[in-house]
Amino acid sequence: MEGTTPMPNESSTNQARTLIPLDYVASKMKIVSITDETVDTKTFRLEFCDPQQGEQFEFHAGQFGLYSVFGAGEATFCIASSPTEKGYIECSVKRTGKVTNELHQCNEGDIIGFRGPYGNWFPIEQMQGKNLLFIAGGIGLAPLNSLIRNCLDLREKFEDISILYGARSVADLVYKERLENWEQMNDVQTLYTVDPGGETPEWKGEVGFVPTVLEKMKPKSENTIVVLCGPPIMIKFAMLSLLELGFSPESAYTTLENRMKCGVGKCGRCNVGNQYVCKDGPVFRCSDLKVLPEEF
Amino acid sequence: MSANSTLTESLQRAASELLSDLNVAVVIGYGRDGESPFSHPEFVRKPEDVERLVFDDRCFGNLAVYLSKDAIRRMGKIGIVVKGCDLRAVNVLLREHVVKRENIVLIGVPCTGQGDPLPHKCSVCEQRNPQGCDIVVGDPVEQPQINAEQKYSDAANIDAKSIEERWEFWSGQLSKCIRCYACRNVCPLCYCKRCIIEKTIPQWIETSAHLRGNIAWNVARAFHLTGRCVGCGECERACPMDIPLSAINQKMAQLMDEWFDFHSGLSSDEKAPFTTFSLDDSDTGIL
Amino acid sequence: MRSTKVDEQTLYQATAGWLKSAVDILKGAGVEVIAPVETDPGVVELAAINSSEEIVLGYANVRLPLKRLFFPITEVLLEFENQPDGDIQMESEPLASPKSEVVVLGARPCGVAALEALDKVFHWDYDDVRYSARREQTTLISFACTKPDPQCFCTSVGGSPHGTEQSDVLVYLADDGQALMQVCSDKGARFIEQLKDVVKPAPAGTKSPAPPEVKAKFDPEKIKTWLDENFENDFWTDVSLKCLGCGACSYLCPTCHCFDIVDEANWQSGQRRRNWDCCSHPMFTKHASGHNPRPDQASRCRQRIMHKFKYFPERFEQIACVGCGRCVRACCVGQNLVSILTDIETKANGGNNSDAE
Repeated sequence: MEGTTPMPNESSTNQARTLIPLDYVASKMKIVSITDETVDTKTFRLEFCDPQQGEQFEFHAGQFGLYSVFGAGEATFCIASSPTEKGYIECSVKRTGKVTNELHQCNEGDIIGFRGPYGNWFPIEQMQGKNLLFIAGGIGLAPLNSLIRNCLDLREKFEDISILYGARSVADLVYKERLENWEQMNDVQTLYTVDPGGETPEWKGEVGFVPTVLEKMKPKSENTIVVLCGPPIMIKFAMLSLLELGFSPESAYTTLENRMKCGVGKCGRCNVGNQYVCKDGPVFRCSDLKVLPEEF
Repeated sequence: MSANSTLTESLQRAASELLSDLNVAVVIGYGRDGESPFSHPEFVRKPEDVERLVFDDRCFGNLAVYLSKDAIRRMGKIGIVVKGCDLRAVNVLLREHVVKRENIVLIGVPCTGQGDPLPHKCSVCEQRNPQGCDIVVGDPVEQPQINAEQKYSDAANIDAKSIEERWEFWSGQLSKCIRCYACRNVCPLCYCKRCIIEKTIPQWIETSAHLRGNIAWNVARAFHLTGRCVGCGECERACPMDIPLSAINQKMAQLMDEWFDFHSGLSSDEKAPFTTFSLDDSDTGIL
Repeated sequence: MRSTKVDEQTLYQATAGWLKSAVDILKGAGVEVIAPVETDPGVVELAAINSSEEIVLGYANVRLPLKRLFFPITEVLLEFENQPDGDIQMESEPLASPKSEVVVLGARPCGVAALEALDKVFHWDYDDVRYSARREQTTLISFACTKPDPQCFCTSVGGSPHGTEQSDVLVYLADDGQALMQVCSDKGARFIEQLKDVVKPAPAGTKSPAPPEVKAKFDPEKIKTWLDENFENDFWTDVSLKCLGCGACSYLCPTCHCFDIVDEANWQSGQRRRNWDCCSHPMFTKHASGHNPRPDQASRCRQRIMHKFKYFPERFEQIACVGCGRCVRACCVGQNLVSILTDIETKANGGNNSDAE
């Protein structure tokens, strides 16, 4: 049912889906744990209230869902856990508006809603046999988190894996425990940084903006796929640095976000030009992004 | 029934002078293309384009609505064609400090009413000759005396119904509302950057087009306009569902008249009841 | 989902009084009948009727578009209630049942043709079951246009006053109460079958009447070539200056389908609803962070036109406009889509027009 588009996004294998009935009914999820990541970000681990739904649930790294607090509404977040982790899903939520505020007031054991998975996903098959470079900024680590965990669970399928992650300050780093785990792994290269002024006396990582640290890192571009996620300005400058280091936009992927309501291309809200972030994204190849109008 | 050619010519000349002297960056007036059944807002930025301006009896819109639009304010000083009702709206915008007097040039046009048949608001107009404008084009027209009974006749007709009939009437009318917010967008005085309907924490007014949501929206809007609405009737004209919105605003205006002897928009330094405090107030509850 | 086309050459002749018989037969069979009714002075809407006496004819078009019968202005998706043990009881609103049949008499060809665009969106990978259920239970009997409005421009976008797209039966009404009917689908054939006492095959050689003339005013393909190259252009600022972003055009548009999903609740229970929404509203694309990809009226006006005449054709090979003219009639500042498009076409042809709308 995909129409012809001027920019075929063959980066993600969107196999022709058969028509799936959709009634916008959320699945009930129980909050099994809440982790305070930063002063305004929490990670929720959710289990399906219906065990059968939980068993049948499958998704790919990069996909998102519509999480809802009954009475407040729905909001879009990526699925932050890996598809290889069974029995639960996670989402990381920054407190910004109505639904996220309500979510932050939920407790363990509360019931919320979930609809998904929607969207396309990272082309993990095409990434096999290659070096992987993950670049994330701030809460942008959340969608990458799913992919990184997925790749690490299948470690032997990939060559070198490097993770460059930065945030405004030490307090703004998310998934601090995971960051430490990744640092301990000897088959993963990690480089963490905070913006100048964001360091604490105990901070042992880098100090500098992500694009600057990237240049210091001098990652090699051959046989390497880059996945970037973070504030638009970080992506812009990181891409410039990557181009200078010999990377091409065809081997770089990122995620876009836009205001969403239905998540399935019907409500007409999330389009950037003729591309719908909920259908043709959220994962986009950086070379395809250049062709899109400045509308995101 | 057709364009008043001398009036149009004077208007074009005035606009041309304003634009040529670099006094204003844009003149907002009315224009008409061949197909349209009525004259519509026209933005003229160059003196050679003033021929697009007309003034006839199909100049329905209240151009004051553009004075709060960023895209237009950014252009610089604004010349604006105003009929009496439009000028009243400009006065409210002035007293609410939405526009600065020195940033606008008021081009007043005497008006004997727009449309055929004449809408109610025109037949009870007391501002046929706009006062206080920088330029007036055209000769003054006759100003008939209007009494309160005529002014508030739409509201009176509804007040004459029993309370059950009134509820049935308004339930029927407001059930039609599709929540397009044309009434709000066309109103010069609905200039809130973030309207109450767009506030989500909390969601003061439900956005769904059920009767309770529609009543809440329309009543809230009427309340927010009480003591401010100038009765230009654009809300009713814009409503695609033919809801008699003017009657609601007319009722509020009648109450402001009876209780406070107040008529919104007659001058830019009037003291509006809800935004003025006086030690002589009969109710000093807030003290 | 789509009605299959049957022998389009099959014309039927209906006797005078067929309309009353049709309503009686359908009501007798427990079918909901929706027909044109005068709801406000001079205003006709499609509404449920009990008797054919309520029907009015001789109107140009109905006020609200046909889409609202399948995609309501507001509809409940699910209801939820807090339980004492902390659980949430959730119930999905029942779908329309195909057994509760609905027959729409008097839809205009443009309103019906619009459903083709809506079908594409509501069946894009995910089948919107509410929309589909209503489509399935409804038979569409269109009345061919005899007096198009001056603002109509269906022929410019591939339509016709006698268009049969998505109709089950197209009816050509005669002044004396008789009618000629063209069957367009299996559902239509079943409708005719139900009326066999008053509707018989037309005599051989009967021809359907010629459509009234609606001159094509622009070439959408030409327009698309300009849209393809001019995302950035001062034209959008000029064209949007007088637009007040009210949304009347979108809400009355037969093909506009943007919607919002909201929860309305108190402490105890609530509903999740789907409501019409409009891309001209400033908050439509505003992120919770405050960032708005379409921060001004120019970008929103551009989106409206691009979506209808470029993006939708690129994704679904169809223009998201049926030329009914409601946007032109509804706009209180005289914005005229046809003028805008003809201006664009002039530009596409290398011509120059003044920087006015």
